[in-house]
Amino acid sequence: MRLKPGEQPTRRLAHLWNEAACIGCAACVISCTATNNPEMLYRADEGRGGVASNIRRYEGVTAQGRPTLLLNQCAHCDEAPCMKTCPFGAVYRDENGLVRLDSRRCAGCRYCVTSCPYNARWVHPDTGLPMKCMGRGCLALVAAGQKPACVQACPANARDFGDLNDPESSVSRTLRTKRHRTLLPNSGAKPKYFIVEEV
Amino acid sequence: MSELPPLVFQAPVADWGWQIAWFFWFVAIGGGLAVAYWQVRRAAVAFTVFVATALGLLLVFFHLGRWWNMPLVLWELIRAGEFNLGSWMFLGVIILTVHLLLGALAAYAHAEDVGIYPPFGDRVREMTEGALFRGVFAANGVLSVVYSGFLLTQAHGIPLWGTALIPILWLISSAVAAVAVLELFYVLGLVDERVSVAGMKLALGLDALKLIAVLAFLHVSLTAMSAAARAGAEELVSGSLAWLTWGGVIGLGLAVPILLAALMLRYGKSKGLIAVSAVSSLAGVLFLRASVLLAGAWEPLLG
Amino acid sequence: MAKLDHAALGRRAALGGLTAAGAAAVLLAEGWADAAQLFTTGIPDRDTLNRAGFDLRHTSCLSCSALCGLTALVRLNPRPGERPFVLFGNQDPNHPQRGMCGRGATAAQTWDSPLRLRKPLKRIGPRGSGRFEEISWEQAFDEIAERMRALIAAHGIRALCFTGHIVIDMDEGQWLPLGLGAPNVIAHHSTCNTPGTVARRWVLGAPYAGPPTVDPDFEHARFILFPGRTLHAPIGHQFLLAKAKAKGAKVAFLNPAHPEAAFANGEWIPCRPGTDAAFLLGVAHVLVRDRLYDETFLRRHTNLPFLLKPDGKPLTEADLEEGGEATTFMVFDAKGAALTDHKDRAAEPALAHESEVELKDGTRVRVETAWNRLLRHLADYTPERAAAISDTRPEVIERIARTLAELRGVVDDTWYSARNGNDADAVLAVLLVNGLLGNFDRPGGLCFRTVPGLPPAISRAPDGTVRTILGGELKLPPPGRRLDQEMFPETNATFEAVVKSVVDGDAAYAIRGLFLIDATLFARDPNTRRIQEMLAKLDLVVVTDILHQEVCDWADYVLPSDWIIERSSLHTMIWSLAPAVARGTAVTDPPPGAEVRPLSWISFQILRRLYPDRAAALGWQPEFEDVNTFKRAFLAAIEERQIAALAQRWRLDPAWLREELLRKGYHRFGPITYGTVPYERAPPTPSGKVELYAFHPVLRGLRETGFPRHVEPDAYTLPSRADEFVLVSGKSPAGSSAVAGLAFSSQFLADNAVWMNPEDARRLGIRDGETVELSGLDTGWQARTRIRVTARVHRGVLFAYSYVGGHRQKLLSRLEGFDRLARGVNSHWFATARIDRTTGAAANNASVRVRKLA
Ligand SMILES: Nc1nc2c(c(=O)[nH]1)N[C@H]1C(S)=C(S)[C@@H](COP(=O)(O)OP(=O)(O)OC[C@H]3O[C@@H](n4cnc5c(=O)[nH]c(N)nc54)[C@H](O)[C@@H]3O)O[C@H]1N2
Ligand SMILES: Nc1nc2c(c(=O)[nH]1)N[C@H]1C(S)=C(S)[C@@H](COP(=O)(O)OP(=O)(O)OC[C@H]3O[C@@H](n4cnc5c(=O)[nH]c(N)nc54)[C@H](O)[C@@H]3O)O[C@H]1N2
Ligand code: SF4
Ligand code: SF4
Ligand code: SF4
Ligand code: SF4
Ligand code: SF4
Ligand SMILES: [Mo]
Repeated sequence: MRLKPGEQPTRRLAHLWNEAACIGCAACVISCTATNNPEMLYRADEGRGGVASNIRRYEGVTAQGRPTLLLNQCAHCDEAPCMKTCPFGAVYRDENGLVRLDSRRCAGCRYCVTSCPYNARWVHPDTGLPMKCMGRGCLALVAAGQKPACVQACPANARDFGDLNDPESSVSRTLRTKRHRTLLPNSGAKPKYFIVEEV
Repeated sequence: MSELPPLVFQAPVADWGWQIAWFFWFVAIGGGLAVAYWQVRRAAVAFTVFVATALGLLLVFFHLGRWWNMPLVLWELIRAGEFNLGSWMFLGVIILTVHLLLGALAAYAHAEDVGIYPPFGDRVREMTEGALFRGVFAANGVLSVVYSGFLLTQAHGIPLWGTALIPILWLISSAVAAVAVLELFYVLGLVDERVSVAGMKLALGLDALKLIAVLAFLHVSLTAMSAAARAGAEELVSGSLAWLTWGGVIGLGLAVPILLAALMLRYGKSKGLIAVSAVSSLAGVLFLRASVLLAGAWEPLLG
Repeated sequence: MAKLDHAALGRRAALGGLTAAGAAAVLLAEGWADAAQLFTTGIPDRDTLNRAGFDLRHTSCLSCSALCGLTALVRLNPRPGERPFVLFGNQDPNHPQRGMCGRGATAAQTWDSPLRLRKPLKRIGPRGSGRFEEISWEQAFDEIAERMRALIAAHGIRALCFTGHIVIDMDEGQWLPLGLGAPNVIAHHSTCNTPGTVARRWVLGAPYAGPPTVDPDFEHARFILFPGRTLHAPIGHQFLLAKAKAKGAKVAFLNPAHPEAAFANGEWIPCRPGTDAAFLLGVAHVLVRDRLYDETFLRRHTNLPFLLKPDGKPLTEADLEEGGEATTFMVFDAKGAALTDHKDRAAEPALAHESEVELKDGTRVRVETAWNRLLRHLADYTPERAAAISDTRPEVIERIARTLAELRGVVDDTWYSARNGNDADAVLAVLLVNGLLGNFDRPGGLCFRTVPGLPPAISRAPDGTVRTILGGELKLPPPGRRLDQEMFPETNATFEAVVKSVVDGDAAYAIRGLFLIDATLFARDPNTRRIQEMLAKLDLVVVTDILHQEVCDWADYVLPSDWIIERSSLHTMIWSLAPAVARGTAVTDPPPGAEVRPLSWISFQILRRLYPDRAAALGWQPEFEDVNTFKRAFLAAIEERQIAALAQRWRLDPAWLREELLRKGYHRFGPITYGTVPYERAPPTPSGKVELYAFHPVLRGLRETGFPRHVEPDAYTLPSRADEFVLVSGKSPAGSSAVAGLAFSSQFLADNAVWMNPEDARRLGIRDGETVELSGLDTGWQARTRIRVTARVHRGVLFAYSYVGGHRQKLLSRLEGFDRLARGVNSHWFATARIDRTTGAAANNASVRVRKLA
């Protein structure tokens, strides 16, 4: 449900990824496609030359020269730039604090794509829609009170999803007890994708 | 040990590339000429504003990945009564639509210049000759150009675009474009000499300004905090887009017109050289827009 | 579709570990919103699901060979074009081998992949051309049988070789070779686990030789060092390890390349390939120097107190007295202060001892305990020297040794170890370090698996008699020794023996016909040019596979086999330390238009044409021509009997067990047992102890010393110039295996560029993404590839994922979107086929020169 301007979401659902637990197996990456865009299982996201998934994998090295891995996806930012820039209000926040897309209002200008500091969106080759987490499969799951596909796919318990407004939720507990960060904290977007740094 | 952080350019993903550059280019011409119209109230100018703005709008419309969904989008907007006034693109669409209408009015007013006498022609002409219309027209032209620059600054994902230099650069180059079009009109005999000579001096000044602004933009980007802005600027200065910068923006867009202007100031005017200079300038204005678009990349998330 | 019975939902019989969320996720994945609603109210039972037109079926994953537990949601009456199933990991947290990794996730792409074999193929161009015509099964069987008949008549059954990997080790792969009485079933081992398997057999005895028989107790581990193991499979172990990590467990990977698993807070110790033994001997040095070893364990349970003669052989009773036993070894009894027989239970064998003894022929020799010899042996492996050899740092060796001792850690005993030709020493060193720590068969240590005792469907007795579990019996003469074991007596399988026999002709006899049951050859065996030569020379090549692998292009006949998710399967859960079996139900029919058949049925069809009597003796009946009847009447009966046998063994009700297997997909018969080997049960080694000093190879004259030592890799020319590198390979958890490597997503998730360290790249002026030419120092093979400059590989080393690069099957150029599979390199182009004479192991690493392209 689309929140009216000024309205506060009742829940603030958020994703959490534990970089200290992730073994980089990509089960989540593939399950995301299988769950949300099965039509893309045999087709690449040509824009980036990769799997058409809402999760993207990056590799790099730390300042100390240690190889690192980053999995990234839409952070459902509290101050989402993609929402501000969409000319037709197709991007909106729902009652769960998730940043959603109303495809009826989307003209495919891709302003939201270039507005996202996290490079979280990709463009569907058939519909021209700007895709990102959460996809329709996962939204239905969450609506049914369940965890999204990537969380369930993970063989290393490296993912979680839940309500930040509920102090008893597993994500709230993890964020209370474990060191964590967000990406580009100065982006002003107030992202809600949390990277946990210890197991 | 160093490993280049993965850099993702927006063009293959968001596809803001040449088509958008052309769109910006048409806006630059349409906007710039609307300002010129204050002084140069000629049919060619009015018609060009209208056509450029229409072409620009058409281009951007068909650049939409879902242009066929526009009716539904409009219906939904009206039904919900919610308009995203915070979106530059939305404001821009309004500004450009207004500009198209103003351009249409101006063109209407000049219909008799080309032998067409539409109804209420006189009254429209009277109105467009007034300072009010010309002021609004010029202001909206400036707005259109500024909008097309601000649009980029609001794309927070692309740090290269985040500088206020872009709207300034867009304004200056829009003026360059307008003057170049006027020179072309002179060559074609559509405007008189007086306008053109003023234009040539103006052009030289604008070119100098534009050169400064371009170099400032590159400098600011090369020394920016953002790695993506730096990488994009490097791409422009010495990377795969260097041909566009040095050949297109600086070479064609600035060096050629400045050189020709200098020659002509010394040795006297030549219609041929003026034409070359004007076309070259106009190309430079397009290349400038394309280069800024194509060099846009996301900030690497792994530093 | 049937209406939902909400009353039935109330019953909520658990659906074997499947969470409602898991099921719903999968349903939604395929746009099955109607079915997904089932799960919003709770966990329905199977009846409810069935009435709604769905079923839930467990299966095992064969995207790599680890057979993890998967669960499928199945649409019972799919409309045309609808996907009939979706797969995901078995969600039961107690599952000993819970799926699913990135490769497992590709299974949905494999099932109806454009590369899937759908019809029997007959070659119409030259071998390697990839030109085929589709033929009927009848024609394929008739022609293959005819050609086999001629071949057997001319050269005997031994001229036929069967090779494969996991399927050939399972019952399915056994029917044809056993029914034919063929001796030469030569699996993939020399390219995989032979060094480790032989080393374990020497140190622990034959029952504990295979890779899964001994494993770290992941769930309770405190610290694990993984020398050359990525632990990308079985992925279920990562789940167990995640539990251990949550309690503070640490892991470290000794590896020239950085494995993905090391991203998860793992330490990566980059090293030079082929130097694991040196590194581990350095660790052993520190353990001994700082007295960090378990002395009681060493004295009681290892052969370190045993006395050695100067030639390195153990001192035996036969050395000392006429008529003495050569299998009775001597130790020094500290209590009685005299030499005594190692079986003397009253004795207290001294760890340190040295003296002179008189042999039966009157000569006097100095003898010393193996421990004493170890002290001298390890003196050569100071951390400094070990670090210099392995290109690591002495501080790291010191720290790893201390951590192992302080946390009672464990060193993983490897799975894939056939890399450099000197790898048996590496695994001997692994076992030595574990022995010094005394951490065998204890929680968090190196433990011994308990098998559930699943009887095989078909087996061959030493006298040659073949028996089936259904009472079939076939009297055949003993098949005789395998060709590879003639050449390499210690090996568990060395396929290069076959290549030698065909290409070089230097074997007792030549193999003429080859059956590839589930083997890629090109991705599996080193030295591609030799493999090609062999394939070109053979009289008959038959491939049975599920996908159009590169080797298919070289076959005379390609037979499309069914896949694990299309058949029911009952197998030991090989990677579970606790006794467990997994039972898979056929999840789906084969994809539309695919005439794929069970391997056992294919086997019978060939056998019945060649030897109708033998086929009948093994249970073949005319009505089995109909494959569904065969499955229903024959394969199902076998499974029934196997379940009954298991039930009897574990005193369970067979009906209950069957139901349990159906419901959960597996059954665990008991917990992990600790403290058995070597404490209560002596390992079946010559000494009955954990032979940290391996007697067998010393007694056989295969090795000078029973201790591991560092010898330089001898399987390939060592790099000596700045532009020469060792090329190593290994698996990606996101996409590389013979099956998953051909999945669409693997083209992106398991990059097929060759990795180069930034230091090396800078030196050679090579930039990330640049294309270079590699040429094999030994094979001369040249190929172009993209270089990925990354800190994930050690200096002087190049890395390429196995299975994902350099696919050359002609079909690829005709498939849209699969072109990236042909890029990159297959490291076997550059690898030699040199075999380690003592173990029969091959080596997949190679050395190459890199040339920057102008
Ligand atoms: N993805 C995938 N997983 C699989 C399979 C598959 O086909 N694909 N197959 C399964 C099978 S059959 C097996 S045997 C297991 C194997 O699984 P593992 O035993 O874990 O081995 P690999 O994953 O092949 O990784 C081998 C590693 O050895 C490193 N290496 C190479 N040379 C040396 C060396 O000299 N010293 C050291 N220390 N390291 C070296 C490589 O860099 C590579 O990381 O995987 C199983 N899992
Ligand atoms: N360079 C290099 N070489 C290596 C390795 C390496 O890491 N690097 N790893 C080595 C190791 S550890 C191993 S075990 C070998 C493995 O090499 P292989 O044994 O060749 O590999 P598998 O993955 O077992 O695949 C065998 C074939 O079985 C097919 N198959 C799968 N399921 C079925 C089925 O149900 N029925 C039938 N009939 N066929 C089926 C697959 O499509 C595949 O073609 O490779 C070794 N070679
Ligand atoms: S991460 Fe990007 S797409 Fe997601 S809400 Fe934030 S700005 Fe929008
Ligand atoms: S692409 Fe669609 S959602 Fe994105 S900004 Fe444009 S209209 Fe809005
Ligand atoms: S929540 Fe769903 S859509 Fe989002 S990343 Fe995970 S699987 Fe993909
Ligand atoms: S499934 Fe889990 S372990 Fe695998 S890549 Fe995703 S987060 Fe990492
Ligand atoms: S490790 Fe992955 S690919 Fe291998 S059997 Fe397990 S789930 Fe399948
Ligand atoms: Mo293996």
